[in-house]
Amino acid sequence: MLLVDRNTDYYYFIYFQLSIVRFQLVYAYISQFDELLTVIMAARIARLSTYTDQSLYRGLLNNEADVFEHIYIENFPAVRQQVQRYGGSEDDAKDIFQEGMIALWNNIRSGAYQLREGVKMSTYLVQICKLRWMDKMKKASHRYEVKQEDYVEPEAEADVLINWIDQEEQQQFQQQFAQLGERCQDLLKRFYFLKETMQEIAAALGIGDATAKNEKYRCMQRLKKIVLNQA
Amino acid sequence: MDEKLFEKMEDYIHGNLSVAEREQFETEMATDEQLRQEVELHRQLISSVETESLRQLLDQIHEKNFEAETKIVAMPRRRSYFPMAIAASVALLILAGWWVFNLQTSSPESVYAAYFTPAEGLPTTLGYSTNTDFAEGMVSYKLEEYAEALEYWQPLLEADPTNDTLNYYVGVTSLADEQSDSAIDYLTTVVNSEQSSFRTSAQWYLALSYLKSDQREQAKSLLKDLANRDNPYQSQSSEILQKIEDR
Repeated sequence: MLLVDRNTDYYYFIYFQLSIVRFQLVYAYISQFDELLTVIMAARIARLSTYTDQSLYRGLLNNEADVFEHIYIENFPAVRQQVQRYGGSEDDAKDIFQEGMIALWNNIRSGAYQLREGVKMSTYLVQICKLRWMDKMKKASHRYEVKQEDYVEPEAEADVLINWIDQEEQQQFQQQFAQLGERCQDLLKRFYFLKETMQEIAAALGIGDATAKNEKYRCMQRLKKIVLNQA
Repeated sequence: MDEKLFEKMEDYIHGNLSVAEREQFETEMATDEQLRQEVELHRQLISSVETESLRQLLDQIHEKNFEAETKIVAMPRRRSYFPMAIAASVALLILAGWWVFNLQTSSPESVYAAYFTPAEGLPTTLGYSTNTDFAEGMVSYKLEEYAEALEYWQPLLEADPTNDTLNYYVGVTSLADEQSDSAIDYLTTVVNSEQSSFRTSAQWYLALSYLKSDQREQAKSLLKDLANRDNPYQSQSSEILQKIEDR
């Protein structure tokens, strides 16, 4: 059955045909280069994995985007596999993994996580994500079926779970932060997360140092107002 | 809280104070409960900003490395007509949307919305400027806090009602703040002062103010003048004229 009438809506029909052709081209393109893509990905991972646990640790302390990406690519597949094995979805895996990354990062900053002889950082990360997922399933046992033998009692890493920041908890701040204008968000991210200096920020925004400093002050005052008004 | 105390807290939290300064600040905190709470709140805000930045970064990383993968896996193996039906509906929707959009753009209010962007602010260097209130207002203006900018500028304008720079910025800010009637008053003053370097820009924003308040004839005469001489708004002016003439 055709959705359009050839005679009266000729142009719509052409548009419709073009869409089909585009679909087929993309599909053909992807199947053909599937293997090539795998090779490229493998090469990229090989290049990325020149990190040691020490350099990862330092990179996380300095909020280096490359390091976050490396850890993400290396460990997300393992966590996804585990979460899916225990009945979670792709999105569940993404949430848990990102919460786990944030927990690891917070624990490194607070000193609660120390590099240990014989325990790889990636093992630790995957383990805390697994524990967290088990915990979540236990609390929502009406949604997920947990086999008794699969459930491991959290032991050494239990303290991580206490300081765990939930996606939902962070969501309130996410909305508050979004109420700031783009410019304020950009400025605050650069200063507090990317650790750029005020001089670098001023140059990037095309303003003077003193103005940049004053804008930072005012953006923080506004953020404070938003947060306090909704507390 | 003033900016000086703010910077002191920042330096304290980032560990940039000298030993003596830090000890003094800690003594102050020990006796001043309110200060202690301010510092604690500030620390929490910074931590939330950092966590939020990281969350956004992780989302980007995920999208870049794992979203595309999901799409490839989800590609249909058999040829199904369902995606094509969707593509066709989307195409129809786009065409319909485009048609509706075209119809709408000819009302003066929507022409205004399509063409209005606030004017570039002037550079401000706080602390060096002799007129701090003007500079403060300019910072607010650049941060798109229009009501705040007007609070800084209104008293200055009352003291100096013919100043073209003030009239121009208060006019543009009023327009950005959706007060097109006051914008018309201020901008008219600038347009009438022959010497002003803001005159052409003021004429453009005055035309937009008229469009916003649906006074089409006044807008048209200003735009015709702009379209007929060499200036940065020339091509945009003729575009708008065409759109409102079409109706």
